[in-house]
Parts: sequence; C-alpha cells; structure tokens
Amino acid sequence: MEGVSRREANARPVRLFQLILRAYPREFRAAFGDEMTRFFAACWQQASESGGPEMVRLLIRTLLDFSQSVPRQHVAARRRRQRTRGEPMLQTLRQDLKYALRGLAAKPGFSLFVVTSLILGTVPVTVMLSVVNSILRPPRHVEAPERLRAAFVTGDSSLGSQFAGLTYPELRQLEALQAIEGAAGFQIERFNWSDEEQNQTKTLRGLACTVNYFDLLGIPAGLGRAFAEWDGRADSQKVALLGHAAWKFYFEQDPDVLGRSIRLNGQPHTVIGVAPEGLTSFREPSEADIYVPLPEQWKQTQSRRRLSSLVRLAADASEAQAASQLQALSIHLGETDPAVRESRSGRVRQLALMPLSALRVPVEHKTEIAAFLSLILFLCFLLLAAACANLAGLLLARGKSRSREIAVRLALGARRSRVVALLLAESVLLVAIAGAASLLAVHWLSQALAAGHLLGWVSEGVTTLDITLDWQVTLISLAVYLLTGLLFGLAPALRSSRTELAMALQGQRILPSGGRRFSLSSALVTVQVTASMVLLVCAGLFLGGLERAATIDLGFDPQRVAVAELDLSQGSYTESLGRVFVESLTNRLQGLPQVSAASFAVWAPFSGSSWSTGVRAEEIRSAGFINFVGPRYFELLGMPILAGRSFNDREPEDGPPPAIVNETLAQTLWPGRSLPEVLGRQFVEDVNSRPVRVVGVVRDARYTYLTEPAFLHFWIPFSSIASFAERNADLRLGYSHKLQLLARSSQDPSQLLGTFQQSVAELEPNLPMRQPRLLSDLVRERSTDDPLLGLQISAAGGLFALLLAAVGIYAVVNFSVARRTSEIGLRMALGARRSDVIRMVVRQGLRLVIIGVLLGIAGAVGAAQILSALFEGLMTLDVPSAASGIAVLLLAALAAALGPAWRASRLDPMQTLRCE
Amino acid sequence: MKRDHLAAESFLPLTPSMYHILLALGGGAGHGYGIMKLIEERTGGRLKLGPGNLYGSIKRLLEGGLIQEERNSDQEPSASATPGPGRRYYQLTSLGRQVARMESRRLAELVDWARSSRLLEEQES
Repeated sequence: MEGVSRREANARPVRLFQLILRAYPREFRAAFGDEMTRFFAACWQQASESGGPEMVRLLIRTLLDFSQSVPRQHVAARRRRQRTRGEPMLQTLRQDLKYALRGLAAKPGFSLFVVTSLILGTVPVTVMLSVVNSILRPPRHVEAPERLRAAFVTGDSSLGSQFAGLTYPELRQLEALQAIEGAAGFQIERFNWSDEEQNQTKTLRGLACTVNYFDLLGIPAGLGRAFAEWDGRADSQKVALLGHAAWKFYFEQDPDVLGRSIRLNGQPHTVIGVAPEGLTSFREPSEADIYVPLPEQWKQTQSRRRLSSLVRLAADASEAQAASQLQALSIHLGETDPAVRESRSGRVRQLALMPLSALRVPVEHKTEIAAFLSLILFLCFLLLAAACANLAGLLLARGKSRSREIAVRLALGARRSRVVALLLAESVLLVAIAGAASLLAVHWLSQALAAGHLLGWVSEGVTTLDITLDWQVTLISLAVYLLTGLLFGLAPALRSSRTELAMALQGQRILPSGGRRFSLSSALVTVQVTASMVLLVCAGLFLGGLERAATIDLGFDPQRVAVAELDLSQGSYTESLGRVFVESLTNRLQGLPQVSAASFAVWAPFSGSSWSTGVRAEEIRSAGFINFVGPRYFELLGMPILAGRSFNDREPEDGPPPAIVNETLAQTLWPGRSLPEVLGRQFVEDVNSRPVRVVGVVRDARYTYLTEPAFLHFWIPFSSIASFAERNADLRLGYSHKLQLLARSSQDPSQLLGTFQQSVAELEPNLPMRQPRLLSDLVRERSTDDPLLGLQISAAGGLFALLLAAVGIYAVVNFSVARRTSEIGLRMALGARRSDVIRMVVRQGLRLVIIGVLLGIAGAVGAAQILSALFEGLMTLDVPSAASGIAVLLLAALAAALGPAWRASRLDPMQTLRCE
Repeated sequence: MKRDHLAAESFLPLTPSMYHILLALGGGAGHGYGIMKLIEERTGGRLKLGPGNLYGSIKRLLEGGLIQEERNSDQEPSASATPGPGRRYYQLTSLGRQVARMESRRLAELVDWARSSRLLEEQES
C-alpha cells in the first residue's frame, strides 16, 4: 500500500488520472502532480481490493472532485498572477529598460549601427503611409465629412471621362433632391495676379467655386467672411478669398489685407477673407492660393463647363435613398437635355455618388494607383523587415555572447519569462529610439516633399502638398515599429534564454545543436536576402522600364518644343478678338529669331487633357479623339504625313471641313484600304453629327501617355472650330477658352520659356498663362516619373537590404566558424587542405543565400506581374535582370563569407586542438 | 503575541476541508493519503476528500504558513518502490496550531450556543 508499484502505475485508470491532471494550472501540477497520482493510485488499489462498486464510486468521486477543484485552482492561479503584476511589473519594466539602456550605452558602435539601419528601414514606410493618408484623407476642418460625397456623371464617354463632373445647372437640380442637403462645385484654375508693389505678375493656383462652397463644408473663413449668395453675380463687385499659405507668403499675414483690391487676370477683386490654415482642395492634397466665385457665364444652361462636384447628404437620408433619387434624376436629365436625348450612340448618362477620395484618385485609374501605391508600400515594408531581421540577428549574436550572464541569472532563480523580458526590452528600446528619430526625420522629410512634387501633382505658386505627419499615421507607424520590434526581438530573446546552464556556466562553448542546418539566424538572413532580392529585381525592372521608355518612338519629336496654356475665358475676348489675338501671337512668336515654328491647338500631346468624341463612316462606328489645331502643327511636332497633305493657311470655307486622320483611324473606318485610297473620303463626327473630309493621313503617335494602345485620332483646322460648337458652349465663341500654344526652338529650349512668356505679356499682360513647359519635360513627367520614384525607392532599398544581408551572412558564417574551430582544426590535422576549408565555409555562406534567392524570385515574379500590368509592357521580368539580381546576391554572399573562410583556413590545427 | 493573534484570526473561518486537515495533522506529521484516510475514519466515512480538494487545501495551508513540509522524515519507508521523489509529509506550524485552536474554540462556542438554544438536544431526541 505504501508507494506505487510499477504495475499499479501502469494501470489504465492511473494513466487516465495523469491525463486529467493536465487540466490543472501548470504550477499546481508541478507542485502536487506526483503526490496526487500517488494518492489516487493508493485509493485505486484499495478500491480494487473491495470490488467493482467501490471502484466506480471512487471514479465518480474523483471526477466530482476534479470538477470542483480545477476551476478553483485556475481562479487562484490567475489571481496570483494578477497580484504579481501591477506595481511590481512597472518597476521591473523600468528596471529592464534602465538595464537595457546601460547595455546599449556600453556598446555605442553596435547601438549606432542598429539604430541607423532601423531608421533607414522605418522612414520609407512612414513616408509612404503619410502619402497614402494624405491622398485618402478629406481636407481638414470639414464638418461631418462622412456625409459628403463626390458626384459624377457616368456612362458618357463623349464627356472626355468615364466619370465627368456636373455642370452648374445639373448641380442645382441635384440640390433640389430631398436626400441631398446641398451641392457645391469647383474647378481648379490659374490666375494671373499683378502684384503692383513688386511690379510683377505671378501665377496663383486657386479654385473657382460656387458661392456655397464654404457653407457646404461647414467652414467659416479664417479671417473676414466667406462668400455670400450675392457674390459672383454679374452686377456685383468682384471678390476673392485668399488661401492661408498665400496670405502668409505674399501678404505676411497682414490682417489689413481685407478690403484691399487685387488685380486677378487684369480685373480688380476685393479681398473679403482668408481661408483657414491647411484647407486642402478636394482634388489635390494642397492648399489653394485663392478662391473666387464661379464666373456667371459658367452657370448658364448652354455652358458645358463641368465642375468637380460635392454633395452633402441630408442628415436623415440614407445612402440608398440618395442613390434612388439620383437614379430618378438621371432619367429626368436624359429627357430634358437635348444633347443626351439626341445622342445617337445611345449612351446613358447617369449620376453617381462616390466617396470623396474619388476626386483625388480618378476612378478610372483607381486600381492602377492603388496597385502602384501598395507595391511601393510593400517594398517599404520589405525594407523594414530587412532592417528588423538585421536587428534580430545582431541581438541573437549578442544573446549568445551573453549566454554566461543569462545562465547566471537563470541559476540564481530568475524565471525564463523575466530573462526574455529583459532581452526584449533591449530590442524594443532600440526600435523605440530609432522610431522616434525616424518620426522626426519623416516630419522634416514631409515638409521637404511638400515643396517638391510627387506622383504628378504639380505645385505652382505657393501651393504646398499637405503631406503632414498626422496623429493617425504617427500612431500606425509606432504600432508597426513596436510590432516589428517585438516580433523580431522575441525569437532571439526566447532562443537566448534557452541556455544550457551547466555548460554556459563552465564557460564552455555551446556545441552545435545536433545537425540543425537551418537555425534562427539563418532564417533571419533569409529574410534579408529575400527582401534585397525582391528590391533589386524591382530596381532592375524599373531601370529596364526607364530605358525602354527612352527608346519608345513617340511618333513626334518633343525636343526643343515649349508648351503654354492660355485661358481666354478669363479675358474679355469676343470671337473675332480672340482669333486675332491667337493669330498675332503665333505670328509674333514665329518672327522671333530663336523660334523655328509656332502653332497652337486645343490640346497638346502629354498635356494631361484630351478631347474624346465618336466617329462613324457607313456602318462602322468607333470612339476617337478630336483636336483643333493651328497651321504648321504637324511640321512643328515632326509628325510625318504619310498620305495627302497638311493643313494650309487658308482652307476652303465651303463643304465639309478638312480632317487629317491617323493611321489607326484610316484602318478602322476603312479596313483593307490603302492610305492613299482613304483620301477624299468622308466620315461623321458623332457629337455634332458633322461630316468631315479626309485630306491627309498622319503616322500613329503616342498622344497622352507612353504605353497607350493605338487610338483613333483626327485633327480639324482651328478655323473650322465654329462648326463643331453646336453641342459645346465652350467652343461657341469660335475658339476654345483654353488653348495650348506651341513653339519649337532652333537653339537652347530653356531660353524659349522666357521669351514665350514675354511675348504673351507684351500683347496681353493680364492673360492667365500656365507656366510654359518643355514638351520633353511633360513627356518625361507623364511617363517616367512614377517608374523613377519606384527605381529610387527600390534601388536604394535594395542596396541597403543587400548590405544588411551581407552583414547578416558574415555574422552567421563567422559564428559558425568560431563554433567549428576544433572541427576545422581536426579536419586540417587529418589532411584537409586550406582550399578545402575555404570551400567548406564559403559553401555554407552560399547555402544561406539560396533559399532567400528562391523566395526572392517568387516575390519578384509577383511584383513584376503588378508592374507589367501597371506600365503596360514597359516592364517585364526578363532573365538578365533576374540573373543579375541573383549574381549580385551571390557575390555579396561570397564576399561576406570569404573573410571568415580565410581566417578558418589560417587556423593552426595543433593550437585549436589544444584549445579544446 | 497580539500580532500573531491577528494573523491567525485572518484565516477564520476555515473551510471544512482545511479544518479537517489541520485536525488530522494535530496528532503529528502525515502524508496526503494518510490525512485523507484519517479524516475518513474520524468522520465515519462522511467526508472523503478527493485529490483535487485535498491538495488544493494543502496548497493554501502551505501558502498561509499553517502547515509545512517535513523534508527529512524518518517515517519515510527506506526502500520505497516508488520512482521519483519520496512521499511528502506535512506538519502543523505554530501558526497552524493556533489557527486550529481558534477555529475549534469558535466552533465550540457555536456548539455551546446551539446547546443553550436546545437545538442540539432536540435533534438528539
């Protein structure tokens, strides 16, 4: 009866009992498990002596006992844990941090290296998070932004966009809906401001908006008043609100600016107020310099001027209600608007509400933009992962060198969790220091970024991109830092705390852990290798894309061509005056010695706008693009005429207007015909149902972006524009309000920009003109800025990750050489040659890289797929770029492993064997 | 002395199983199974402590310092067939003895009261 015999212990009930014992808290089990087993075994033996019923009774009793005591012990254990936490926990935390800080201060080189690499890893993530945030965030100060929506007209491609803005009359109709509290519209415009004090004309970028703009947003003016209902009427005084940044920059925050008269586009405007600070526009994450009420002529029913539109849902209206009322209005619009009714292509125009971000991220390009931003974010995260893997690797190495200290702590009774916390404190502290530093750096960087331009947003005047580090991004970044710090700090801490006590205390080296080839440090190196592989291949892709972009034949010659946009709607031009002005301006430019050709067009290639329409000939119907151009346009751009002729100065006034078409149009409308056969044929411009006659065929070119597919394009002489004005009030005056002026220089094109502006100013000093740009710059911005950004990030990141990977490989190989000193010595004593030793060590270094490279190839293939989808054929993963990435990594691994290998080969066998 | 008294009082009233364990150890050190057997015997089989309750109470008594483990016990059979550490013996501490005494006194007072209220007699009759 005393003790438990082996036979009894093997009895099934006792084993069952031992199994159930696992339900108790661990400490309880550790303290009493054996005793309880013995207790039960004794009871069982006695019961089995008394017979079956007693055994059953014992089992029932024991189960009842369990059901009571197990929960009780768990409650007690939890209470005990809570008691030991709380105040003492704070104390131990403070102690841990203090200790960690001392440890870091004792090794300043190590700390500096880790912190620097972490900063390099954290900054890009935060910058990209800020950029994404600044795009998606509604402007500050807006009241109840959750009830604001962007409104679009969809389903009518003749409006130039799948998602076009609303006209003023449409906006007013929208406002009449019950579910909609109010609607406002605006358009980004450029204004020429004659600064009389400095006797200069400056370009301001601002909003022409409906007078209820500020009311709808629920924003009072920062100073003075916002627009009132009567502002902007033809008979009332012209007024303007200054943007806060412009007020600060140009008026030195002078409160007396209120009531002052400023000349905008040659007309006096009274400043009535200043917008609050940081009020960004809904289209761009930047502040407007100036706000003016919508011009009267834009409000008329004939105006086709489409505004970026905002609506505020009524407080009691649901999204679904608004949608159904909008649907009804869409049908209504279709019935009353002749343009919609008569539209022969059977288009259905619909009104749609979208989230506010749809104004900043064009809906058509939403997926591309999202994919591009996520790819860049992903690359940034890879960089962070590489930096953190580096941190973890270094901490692991440090943990190994501290194994004695850790062993002493454990031997003195420290719990493993305490040791882990202590080691973890170090990594968290490092990440926290680096995080704080990088947040500061990002704050500084975002201001630098705000001054420049990013992702195609042009900043003119004093407008600034609002890419500030707000609390949300700060919090998210900090969470990301801490999480990665914990994640990558935990594994080394856990590993280091699992020291073999006796051996570590005796100062022995820990023996290689039984044939494990893939240790934690190798895993960390793999992370770094993978990250650098993906980043390097992406850099290669971007570089290849840029090279390919440079060799793509545009179909025209953008070199030495300057473009400037004129806005005649802001001056007081009639049709004849406007035409005279444009003609005299081109003549004046043409007469300048450095100008070899000058012309104009409604839209210029790569200027960011285009005019879409429909075309049909006999049974064939297609979408196409139309442009109205001045004389010598094709010669100026160097677009070769393949058949027929170019436009003359004097085209015949009678009959269908002449048209020059591109190859794609000719082949689409008259398939199977040769180009000369197309000449003289007629086709119909769909929107105005206007027949035109082909007089020439021009070679296909790229007109809006580098990788665009072949579209149908045709050109009409500018003098015939009036015949296309029926359906377009903005053309009704006989010229487009906005004109692109083009000139080719025979010399240095940068000089052209100055003379350009000068000539316009001499003719009409108050005419708003967008800063003249070189066409080659426009092409570059529209085609290579995004890949360039990608290249910069991935190349810099890739090299950085490569460096970290090399450091990691070196550390792992070095450690393993140190660990295998005696083995190497033995091998050499047994006749291994130095070259054998070197080969052995280097092979180990390379083995580390191979898994990382394989994973990296998988990642790179994924990234390449996104990239080739985004940049349509510009970037494809080819063997050379992947191979060069692999080669670079293998070389780095070789270089990192060679040092330790060389040292290993120099070992003196006798010495090392004696050491053991 | 006063402080000891206060410390002892803070354990009162004891749970039945804790009180029984203290009583069982009143006559000298014992191990878990022995304690259970003794209690079962003394209560006429009415109180049979299961392993969970028994060792849960022992744990609390140990933590409270009412009992302690007797490490080098002579009562340990010399050639135990049991592998692993030997069976553990527990004995009362002076605090445990005091707590047991105070709890007994408290219960005796209650019994006296019951008797004076003729509750005990009624039941007996």
